Amino acid sequence: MDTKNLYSTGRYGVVDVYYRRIWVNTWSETLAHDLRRTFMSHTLTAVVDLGCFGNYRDDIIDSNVCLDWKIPYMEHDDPAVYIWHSNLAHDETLSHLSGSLINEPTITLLDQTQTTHLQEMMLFYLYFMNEFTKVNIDDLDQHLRIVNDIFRTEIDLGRIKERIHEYAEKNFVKSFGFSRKTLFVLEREYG
Amino acid sequence: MDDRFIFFCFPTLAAYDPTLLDESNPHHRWFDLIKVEPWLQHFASRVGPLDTPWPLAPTIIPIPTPDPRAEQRFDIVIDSIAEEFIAQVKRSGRRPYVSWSGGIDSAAILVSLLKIADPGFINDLTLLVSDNVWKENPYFYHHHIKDKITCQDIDQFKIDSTNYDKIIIADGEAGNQIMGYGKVCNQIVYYNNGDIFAKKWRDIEDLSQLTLGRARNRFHEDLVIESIEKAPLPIDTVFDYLWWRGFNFRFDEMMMRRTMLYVQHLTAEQSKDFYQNGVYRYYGHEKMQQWSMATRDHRRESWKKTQKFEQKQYIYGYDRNPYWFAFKHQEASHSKSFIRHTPRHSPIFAIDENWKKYSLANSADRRVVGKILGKV
Repeated sequence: MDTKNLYSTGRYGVVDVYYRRIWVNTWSETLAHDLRRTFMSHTLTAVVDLGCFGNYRDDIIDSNVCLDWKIPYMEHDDPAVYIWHSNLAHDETLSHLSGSLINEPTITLLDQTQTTHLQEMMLFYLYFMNEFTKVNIDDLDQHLRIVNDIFRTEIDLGRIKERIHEYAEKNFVKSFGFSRKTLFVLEREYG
Repeated sequence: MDDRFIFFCFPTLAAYDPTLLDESNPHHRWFDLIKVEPWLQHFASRVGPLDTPWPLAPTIIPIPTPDPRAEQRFDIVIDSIAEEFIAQVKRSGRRPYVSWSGGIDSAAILVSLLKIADPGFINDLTLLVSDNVWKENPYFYHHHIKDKITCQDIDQFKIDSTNYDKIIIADGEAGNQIMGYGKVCNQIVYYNNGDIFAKKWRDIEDLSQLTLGRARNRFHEDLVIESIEKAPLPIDTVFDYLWWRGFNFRFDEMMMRRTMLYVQHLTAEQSKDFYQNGVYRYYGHEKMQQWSMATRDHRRESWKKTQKFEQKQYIYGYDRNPYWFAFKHQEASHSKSFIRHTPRHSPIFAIDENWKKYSLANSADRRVVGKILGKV
């Protein structure tokens, strides 16, 4: 699979709490929160309704460009600042922010390759999890919990795929439906 | 009461009696410090006694005389402390524990032992963890801890008369006071105002810029300024000022707040013994304090790249996780256990210099504090 072809857009942005950069944006608020929780040790993020910013349009902000977009600062005396910095409040989508999105690159200690790689892991996560929505598979929640743990405990996309593949192979007989679907998503259905 | 306190959690008293925060309370200016100093549990100056309503003993951890030849590389300092810890464990015959919240301070301690210790030591080592520790750094847990090092639920861990003299716990208390004033520095860097770190603090007209939420408290500022005049080294820049606030005023608190929980089931004598022999404070070690004093100018710049840069760089050197290195920020621990283990959740609010504990659940102790505060 060429993860460079993975694509995502939508009004729910997964936004870096410290750098305010948009890592990915998606139409699924539920998946956005799932991604936030899973990647919380890679980088701390919040789910923001990008629609509350005056210049948001879904044909402008997508996974191809969102890394160069960020949300504006909140003013010092804005109560939202405290919510923003409190990791205890991040279970809610932040939808009462204001201002305009800013088109500006973000400088961090990661180089470009590392930055892109982290986004690729997130995009693959969205792609993988989205494939399992609205499917009826026995013990699906249990399997997805294990897959979430794989994403949570790895920092390399190749290794993530290897471990998911190993898990699918190991459970091929016991959980045929899940394994078959997983191998399809990984494009390994024929070896 | 003749004895002086080595720990006096007046915020616990304010939670018990909110009228202590009223302006009509003659001592309210001390209780107002709660609004300026986040998560305050004890307030003491290491460079001289404060005129508190409650009698305070001299600092339990005096600031060492600054050494101009102090080591300035963090990795060398922490590795050296790890070697000393290991040697002390072997000499004492005590079983080693590390209290690992998953955060930066305790992670650095853990890495130092993984790097330095022999397999026998690691085999004897137990990590005190909460059920949420894997959320803080699941990559590290999965690759370096799981099925490799014994972990024990900190909620199930009890120190009592049967084990207090058989164990030794290393924890990350005072890491923030060594590295810099985290929350405020982060707020400044977040708003892209890092250039203020190099400015002379005396040129800052409104020092409320240097508090969380811009809370201005003249009494607090006066206390800090008075202490600076007694500091054993120059406090010139804004970064120095912020660092000094923690290094001078919060160090005793850090040495004691977790200790209060460790010794809650021990007698006074046992408590004192445990503090002296059963707790090992990497960040209270003289070498670490010397490093902190000697590297302020360097850290003033490194903080703009990421907070606790030197610790994270040290950890990155071991686990090669660039995302944790770049993005891990000091946040409230995900672990409720580590949050619960504070005196705010215990009726014990003070310890005196004879290690007698004072509890709000004890009417005699309440009378003592009532007299101190002029309530009886």
